[in-house]
Amino acid sequence: MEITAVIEVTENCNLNCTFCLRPSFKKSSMNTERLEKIVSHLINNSENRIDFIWHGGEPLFLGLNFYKNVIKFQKKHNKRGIIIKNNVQTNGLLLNDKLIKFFEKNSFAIGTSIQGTKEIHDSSRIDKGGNPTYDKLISKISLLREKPSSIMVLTKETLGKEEKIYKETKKYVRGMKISEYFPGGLNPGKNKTLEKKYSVMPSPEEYGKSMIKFYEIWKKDSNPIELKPITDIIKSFVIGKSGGCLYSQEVCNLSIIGIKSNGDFYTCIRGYPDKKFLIGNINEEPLKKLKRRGLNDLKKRQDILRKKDCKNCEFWAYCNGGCPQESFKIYGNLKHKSFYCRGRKMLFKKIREDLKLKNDEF
Amino acid sequence: MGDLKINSIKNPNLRKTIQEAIKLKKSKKDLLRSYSEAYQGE
Repeated sequence: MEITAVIEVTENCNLNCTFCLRPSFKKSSMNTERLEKIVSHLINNSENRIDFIWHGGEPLFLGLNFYKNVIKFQKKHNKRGIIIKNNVQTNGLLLNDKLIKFFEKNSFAIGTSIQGTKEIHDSSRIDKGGNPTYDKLISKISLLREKPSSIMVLTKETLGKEEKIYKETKKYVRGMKISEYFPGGLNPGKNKTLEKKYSVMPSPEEYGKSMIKFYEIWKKDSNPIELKPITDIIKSFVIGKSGGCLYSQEVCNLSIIGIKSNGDFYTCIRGYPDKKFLIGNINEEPLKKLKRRGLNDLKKRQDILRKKDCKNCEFWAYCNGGCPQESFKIYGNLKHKSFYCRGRKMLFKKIREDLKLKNDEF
Repeated sequence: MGDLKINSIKNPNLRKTIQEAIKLKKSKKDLLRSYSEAYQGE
C-alpha cells in the first residue's frame, strides 16, 4: 500500500476565513513523541513510497523545530530506503527565511491558497482581526525559489471573474487547483453561521459554467499552468479512468488518509469528527484496519450510486459520484452523488466534444 | 477511452496534456499515485 497522509498537526489557525470548512482555533498541537510514532508507523506500513502532507489549521504554527524533527524521524525510521515526499499546505503568512531555507534544502513542496483576485482574497481570507492578507501572502511566497502550487475554492464570489483570477494567480504559482465548495455540518437554515456559508455555494449550473470558462481560458493560454482538476479530467478521458481526489473513491478510501494531532487516523481528513470515518488511534496500529475498512465503504457507496443516482451515467468512470465526504456533510449519509453533478457533466461534455469523442466511445 | 485521434486535436494545450496522459498510460505508473502527487489538501 502506498499512502498519502494528510496530517493535521494543529487545528489552530491565524486566519478566520469567511467560508472555512473546518473552523476551529483549538490550541492543541502534535507533540514530538506522537510525531515520531506516526512517522514510524506510516513508513513501516508503506510499500515503496509515502507522501506526507503537513496540514492544519496552519501547520507553520509549530515552527522550524517541528519540521526538523520530521526529517530526523523520517531518516531514523526509513530503514528500507523507501521514497519519502513532504508537502506543506500553508496560508503562507508565517513563512520566513529560516523556514524557507529549511524547506528548500529538504525538498518540501509548498502549497498555499490564493482565493482568486486580491479583492476576493481580502474579503474572505482575513485574519482574526478582520484584516486583509493578500499582499502579505504575495510578499511571502515571492521569497520562494520555486513557485508554490495554490488552491482556490470556487464560490459565488469567484463567478464571472475567471479571466482575472487565472491571469493574476498565474503570476505567483506553478499550478492551480480549483476546489469544489461545500460547508461542513448539516442543516443549513437552522444555524446562522452555516446559512451564511451555504450562501456562497454556487449552484451546479453556475459551477459548470465557471469551470468551462476556466477551461477555455486555459486552452487559449500560450504558456499555461497546470490547472487542476481540469487537466486531470482531460487525462482521465485518455487513460479511461479517474484518479483525482473528488473524482475517484479509490483515492479517498484507499490511499489518502487523514491524521489528527492527537494521533487519530481517519479514512479522510474531511471525515473528522465523525467516528464513522475513524480508523483508529496511532496506539492501535490503525493502518492494519485501513484496507478492510476502505474497501467495504467504497463498495457499499458505489453499489448504491450505481443503482440510483448514477445509474447509466456515461461519465461514471471519470466522476465516481464525487466526494463521499461531501455527501455526508450535506445529507448526513454516503448515499448521494456530487451536489455539483449537473455542472460536472457540463464540463465533461465540453471536454469530450473538444477531444472529438462520441458518446458511445465511453 | 474511445477512438481518440490526436492529430485531429489542434489546440496545443490539449495536445500536450493528451500526450502526457498517453505517456502515463504506457508507463504503467501507479495512476492513483500520479494523480495524488500534486494533491495538497484543501
